[in-house]
Amino acid sequence: MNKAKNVILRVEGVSKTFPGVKALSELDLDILEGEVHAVVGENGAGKSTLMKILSGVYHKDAGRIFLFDKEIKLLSATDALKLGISCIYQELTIVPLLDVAKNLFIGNLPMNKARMINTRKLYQDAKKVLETLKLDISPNVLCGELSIANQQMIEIGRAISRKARIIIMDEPTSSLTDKEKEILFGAIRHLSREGISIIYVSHKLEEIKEIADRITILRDGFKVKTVKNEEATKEEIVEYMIGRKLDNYFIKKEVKISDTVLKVEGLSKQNVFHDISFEVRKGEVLGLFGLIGAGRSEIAETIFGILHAEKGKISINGKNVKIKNTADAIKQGICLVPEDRKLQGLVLKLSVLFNMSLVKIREINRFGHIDTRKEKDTAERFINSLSIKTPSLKQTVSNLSGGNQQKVVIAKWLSMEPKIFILDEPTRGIDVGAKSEIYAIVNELAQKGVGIMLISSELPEIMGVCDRIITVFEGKLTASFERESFNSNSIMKASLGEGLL
Amino acid sequence: MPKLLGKFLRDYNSLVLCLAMLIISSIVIPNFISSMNMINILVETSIIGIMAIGMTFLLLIGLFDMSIGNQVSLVSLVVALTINFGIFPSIILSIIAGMLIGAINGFITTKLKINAFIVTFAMLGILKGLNLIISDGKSIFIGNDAFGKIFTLNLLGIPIVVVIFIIMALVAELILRYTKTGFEIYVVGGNIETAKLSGVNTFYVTMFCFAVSSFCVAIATILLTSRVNTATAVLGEKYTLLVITACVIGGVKFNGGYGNIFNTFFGVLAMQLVNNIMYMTNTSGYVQSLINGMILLIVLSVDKFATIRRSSVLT
Amino acid sequence: MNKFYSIRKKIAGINGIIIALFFLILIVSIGSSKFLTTTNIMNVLRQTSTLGIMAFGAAFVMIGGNIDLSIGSILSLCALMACKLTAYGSAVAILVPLAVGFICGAFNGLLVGKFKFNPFITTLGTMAIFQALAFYYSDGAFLNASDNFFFSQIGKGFVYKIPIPVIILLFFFLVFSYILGKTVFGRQVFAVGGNPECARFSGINNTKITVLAFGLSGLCAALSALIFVSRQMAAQPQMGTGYEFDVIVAIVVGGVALSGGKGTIWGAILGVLFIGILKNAFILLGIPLNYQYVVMGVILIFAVGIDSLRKEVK
Repeated sequence: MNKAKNVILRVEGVSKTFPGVKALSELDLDILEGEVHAVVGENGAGKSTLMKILSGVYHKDAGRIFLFDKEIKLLSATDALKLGISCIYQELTIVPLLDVAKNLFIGNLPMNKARMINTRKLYQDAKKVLETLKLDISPNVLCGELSIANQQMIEIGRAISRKARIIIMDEPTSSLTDKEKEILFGAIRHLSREGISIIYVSHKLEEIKEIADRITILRDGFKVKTVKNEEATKEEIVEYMIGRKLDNYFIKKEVKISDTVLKVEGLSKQNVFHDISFEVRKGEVLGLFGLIGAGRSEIAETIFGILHAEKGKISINGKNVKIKNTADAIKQGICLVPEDRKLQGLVLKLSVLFNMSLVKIREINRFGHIDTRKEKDTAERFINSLSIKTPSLKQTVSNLSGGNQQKVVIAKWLSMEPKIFILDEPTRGIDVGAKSEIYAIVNELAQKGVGIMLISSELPEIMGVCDRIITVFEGKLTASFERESFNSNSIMKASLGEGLL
Repeated sequence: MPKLLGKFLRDYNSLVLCLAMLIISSIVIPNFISSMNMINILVETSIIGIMAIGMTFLLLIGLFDMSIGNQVSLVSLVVALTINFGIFPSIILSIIAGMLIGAINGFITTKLKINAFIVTFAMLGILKGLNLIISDGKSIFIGNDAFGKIFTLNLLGIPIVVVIFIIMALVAELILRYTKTGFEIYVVGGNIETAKLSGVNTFYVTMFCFAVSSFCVAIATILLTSRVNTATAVLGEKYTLLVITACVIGGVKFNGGYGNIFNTFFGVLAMQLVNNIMYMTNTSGYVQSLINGMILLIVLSVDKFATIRRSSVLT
Repeated sequence: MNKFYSIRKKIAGINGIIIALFFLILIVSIGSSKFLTTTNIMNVLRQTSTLGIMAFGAAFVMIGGNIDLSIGSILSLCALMACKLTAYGSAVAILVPLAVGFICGAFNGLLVGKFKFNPFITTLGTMAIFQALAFYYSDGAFLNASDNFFFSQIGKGFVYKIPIPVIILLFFFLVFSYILGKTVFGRQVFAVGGNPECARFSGINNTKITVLAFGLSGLCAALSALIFVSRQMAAQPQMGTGYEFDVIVAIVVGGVALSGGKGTIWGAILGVLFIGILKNAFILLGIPLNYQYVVMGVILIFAVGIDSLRKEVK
């Protein structure tokens, strides 16, 4: 573990800005040959931006990257692949209807002189790769028939077949069982011994402590520190991850919290979430904190009628309710601002007016005829009250900025005067100005006695806005915190699975 | 054991269906296994089968050509018009004509980034007009004895149509399994992002598939035309639906097909057996077309095959 | 580049069809002196009325993100039914075919909306099925409608010199414009076609909307059938063949987007007018009818291509 290693990849002063957001700020990083280098940080810290720059998908705005001391230009994904940098994303890219051997060699099939695939060499080479990964799979099996874990291994195999020197892995264990994880780690260790560097991006501190040689912590686009695994404890890593002062995005006003408006008991859906129980009271802002994929959105979608739970009860104002579809939920006064505003929240090619009134028209109509005057008035009221910047009501929504688009979605639901308002990652990809406006809206709603659920993976946001926070990890509730005892470390740990209810 | 049986049924469903139809046929129709009848069925099956081979390539990448019925008519008309240059030249010219249409379809689909369905739908209209203009709405009698003999050729007793089908099926299987292009077809059909990232030329792949499809249509048409020694503007009208039904029965799925020519062949055979039963039992012609349409819908339901987003265009 | 962008955008928008229509009328008037006569204009309008009503229904389907290729067959089937049923009085002859048309459409809607089949493939199949039913119903023969004054007036009658079909067209133009633009149903069709996920997340029942849109399309085909039969007092099993092509070209030219979520009834009628005048031009200018198909196919590709380029520019 202590032999001297060369620097294989050096990142110097790399920055990347997106409209309204500085994703990476003058980042310096070096990767040693054959090391397992973990990169950790909260959502939005810049991990995925860094990965995408290294794999050629994004272009950096500033800085230089050196491979074996030679500066390189990563202008496309194929550039990165040619230079030996492979990236394995969470979304698998194997072709299910091709066999393992073909999947291993997508992009560099061995050909023979007759311009046909040299099948003998293909299957021989495939066997070699499979041996390297200690996989007991036949190269003739269709990839679609393999387990997700094995499919992931094939992706790694593909990187090996491309003679990758650096393999970036994004949350590789998210769909693996413990046993499969061990196999993966075995493969990683083997690759590391062979001199291949692994950049391991993950939230899971347990695993990072187990597998990494060095750990780099990112925060708000900066590099906080790079430490050797033995030199930092999990607690210290967490502190580095979130150690900023919590800016006050706004001042949380005193709100009178009264009776329970939403009660969820024993909600379960196989493989998604298990035994979820919590309450939301009038005027209260309940936060659901956890990693992406922990099941928070699914819980919200179940309450909203998009998904159906197999077990459990939902009661509103003390009465048991059956929610079979979204129309039922809306009737019960539940509204959901979905996670992906472009895909789920808006019809992008249509106007602001259309989008805002899409749900409200069910109310402001007589035998189906829409009262267009009321529709316009309602829309204009919201444009004012939410400060939505749009040249007109007829403006196509896709032309608005992210923050204003989100406000249109919020206006759409606010017009229904919800009793229970769920917001799923409402400030994702939105500039700071719009963020605080949205927090103000949440505050106002709370004062009006609406029960609010806020799903977020940004700790400062959720700690600033909520009265209570419950943490979700792998589909289960792990902890509950009252505002007085909000502690960023404990909340973060609970969301990572440490600290069971 | 039951799991294996289930898998066997799924992989070879059309073979099973075929055997079932054979059994039903021999019960319902007296003298079913008379060689004349079986040969007719095989011939008709092979013609549709040849076209289905080509269509499979398109389906594998998630596309479809609605104009093939009219391509059939066009090719037959080109044969009729050029027969005076000689059989061989006329065959070559008609194949080129057919493939040109396929190339145009492919080009518009990829370069203008338009939904393949609507492009080929528009082409359907264009060809309809073109065919009527060329033929002036009349049948053109070719009357070339040598040309008409082509259809009657056979190899060891097996009609040439069937032989050509078998050869083409094998070649197609070869291409799909052992060449780089065949491999790229599966990649594009399976996961287009992966395809682009791995440097696959999606334009080439699309053009290739459209060209193959039109090539197959042309070959089948030449054989068909030889049989009747006549060309008309409406010769091919029924084939679009028949070919798509054939592919659906054969289990080809949009995007990365479970594309298997073997399956398609037995699927078509099963379909023809059904048609034959109806013909032999004197079922009215209208019921026959009804059944053909219903077969399509039934297989769709059973297969959930057509669960693809409407605008599956390669962009 | 900016100037090109705005010009392109305008041409691609509804103003485009108006400009195209204007030029078309100009060219045809120059080409033939017979074009702007009252008889000819009335002829064109009458032809347009049948195509127009079908286009309204087709527009609903396309705005909802789908397409219906079986409307020609539905027209044939309903026309034959209307013929036979005139023997039982005009009420039956009108209402039953309308119901059948709606049911055929709804059947399509169910397959596409609930089972999520590809609309092209599905309606290709139902086109064959309905066509077969039409053949079966009339035994392949021409049918003559029984004498029925009221019924025959639908297609042949006049009100103050305006043909009744034109009045029917205008009536349904108003009705459908209203439904599409001012009712909850209309908005929901736009939502389902524009972004079905968002529609789902906004409390809309996508299946219901799709079934209704297709049903409306079938109903419109049946309406057109009634006008046709009433005019000729006869029908044959293939009379509707090819109409789906004309209708689709018309609405696409009129600005209804193939991808769904955009379009107007006003655009549909302009598109239909364009196609109607084009066909009329062919007759007046002595161009053989067969060229019509070729030209329309090319126009379709152009129209869709412009729409696609529009997306690129964005």
